[in-house]
Amino acid sequence: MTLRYTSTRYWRRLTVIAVLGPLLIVVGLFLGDGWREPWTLLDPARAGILQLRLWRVGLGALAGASLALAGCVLQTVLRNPLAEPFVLGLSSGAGLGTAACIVLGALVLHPILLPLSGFAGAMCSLLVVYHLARTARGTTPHTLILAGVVWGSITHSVLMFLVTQSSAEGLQAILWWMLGDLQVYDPQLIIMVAVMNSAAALGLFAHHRALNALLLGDEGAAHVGVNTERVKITVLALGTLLAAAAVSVSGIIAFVGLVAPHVARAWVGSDHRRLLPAAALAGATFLVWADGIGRTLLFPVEIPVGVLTALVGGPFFLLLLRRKQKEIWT
Amino acid sequence: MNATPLFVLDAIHAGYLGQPVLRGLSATIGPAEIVALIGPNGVGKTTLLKVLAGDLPLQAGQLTYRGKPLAAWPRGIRAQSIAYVPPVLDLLTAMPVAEFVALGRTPYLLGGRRWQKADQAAVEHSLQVMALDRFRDRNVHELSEGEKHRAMMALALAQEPTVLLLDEPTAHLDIKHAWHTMEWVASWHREMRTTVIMTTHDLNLAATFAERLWLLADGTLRAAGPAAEVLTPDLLSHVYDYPIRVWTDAGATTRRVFPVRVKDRGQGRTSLLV
Repeated sequence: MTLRYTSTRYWRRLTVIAVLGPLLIVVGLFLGDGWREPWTLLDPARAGILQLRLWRVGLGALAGASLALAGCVLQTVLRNPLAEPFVLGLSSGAGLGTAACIVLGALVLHPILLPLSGFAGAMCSLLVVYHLARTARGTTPHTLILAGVVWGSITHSVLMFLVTQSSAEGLQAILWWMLGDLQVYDPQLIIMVAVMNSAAALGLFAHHRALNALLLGDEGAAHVGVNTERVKITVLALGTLLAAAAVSVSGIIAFVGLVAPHVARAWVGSDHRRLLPAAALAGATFLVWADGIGRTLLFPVEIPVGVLTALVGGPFFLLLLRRKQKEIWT
Repeated sequence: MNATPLFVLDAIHAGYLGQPVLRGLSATIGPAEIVALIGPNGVGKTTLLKVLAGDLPLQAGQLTYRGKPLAAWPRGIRAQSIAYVPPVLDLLTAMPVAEFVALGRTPYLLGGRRWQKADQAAVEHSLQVMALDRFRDRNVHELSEGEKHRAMMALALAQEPTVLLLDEPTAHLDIKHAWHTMEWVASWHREMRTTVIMTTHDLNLAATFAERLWLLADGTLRAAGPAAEVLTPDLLSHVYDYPIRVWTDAGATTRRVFPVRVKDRGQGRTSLLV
């Protein structure tokens, strides 16, 4: 049965994104050292470099898609166009959790503890920020962002303190990680995070009808049969897990979770059945290219990917902030 | 009316933060009725509607729907039977009208069932009944107030409900759109035998379209029945605390309600009334 109730234009655009996104990601492989002679990357003699690139691009796609999905559902559930893991302080919460895990030496037990402690930190941040911002009539965009920014700087300070207490040779690595770093240090961990986040993404997608209903507000969703509280908690937990796991392997990367969902919404509309895959693809492509450009622009100097996403995403965020909420979303 | 009732309300208490707005209200609602809830501001019309929608838990008393406590119905099943139309649109993002109306199929699809012909048919029917077919690809937020309200009603219609709850369906509409809205509701009621329960401040509209009027006061039912019984000058003037006249045509089929300007409060209100 064809779904005649939706505009076919949106489905056509999703198809375009589904083809173009992966294609651009593959092209992104060739950015960086030697981009003028892309065929050299395929030279069997340089298989090691290709492998490193593959891991790096894979991690970029994974982190970008995860952050975009997280931003997408945070925006829907918190009913706030400015919601995003970084802005809400979830990313620095995840960073703090991850750093605490490293400092306390819990990592020797099992590497999976890294993303999980990130998740714990991000979840704590979400609860704190949400309760700080809560008023009698739910959260308003402004209180939520204010609470997120303030909480983000508090956790960031603690994170900085931990950094200064760590050994000198680790400093550079941690600094890079705080700015967002897509270099792969532990392939096994990446695979674990990829599996975990794929499961979380499928879990989110399974809720696409409930997420659509939530666009009608909590009561409106309840009126069409959605168990609003349960869905909101599930979806927020899955979104936070996605963001936290991404942070634990790629560091704190700003604004991908903000830009990608908005771009996707403009392209394919607000039906989460199209929006979730489109946002994931947009986030993955965006981050892979931001990283690729960071490798290429000032070569041999490398610009941290978090710096580039903030350079692009920051102005975008200010633009959204300046316009009225209504004009963005309607 | 004489068939088994849909809703049975038995001495219900409900309200916000422990403060009951409804205090010991008892009533029944039969199938295929149009009931208008009237009464002054803050008297509990919307509270009662929220109770019937399952939004607000009871503080005391019993409320059954089709012989079973309303709260005991699974949400999804309940939403296939009871639809609620809010007074104003609250939609987070832009969305084409057809997609918006299709959200009314959510209760049937939450279990993971795929979109089927029946779903499509329900949406198409809603769009047609509410004359929204030509707006189907238009952004809901770009519609006029009247069209937005029709879109919200179409969403509820797509739920194929037995009971339709309307919260102030004409509050933001001019006379033409308000009366058209009610004509739509009435024809839907005739066609689908849907029970309609609505709150309104427009007593003339209620008198015209509702089969039964519930006049709420002091957290309970002050009067219930057809317009001829409820819309009497004494009762209305007392409950609304303002002089009100009622005009009845020769056949006594239509009633019209007029507030009367109080020129001299010292004279007492009753002297101004018919």
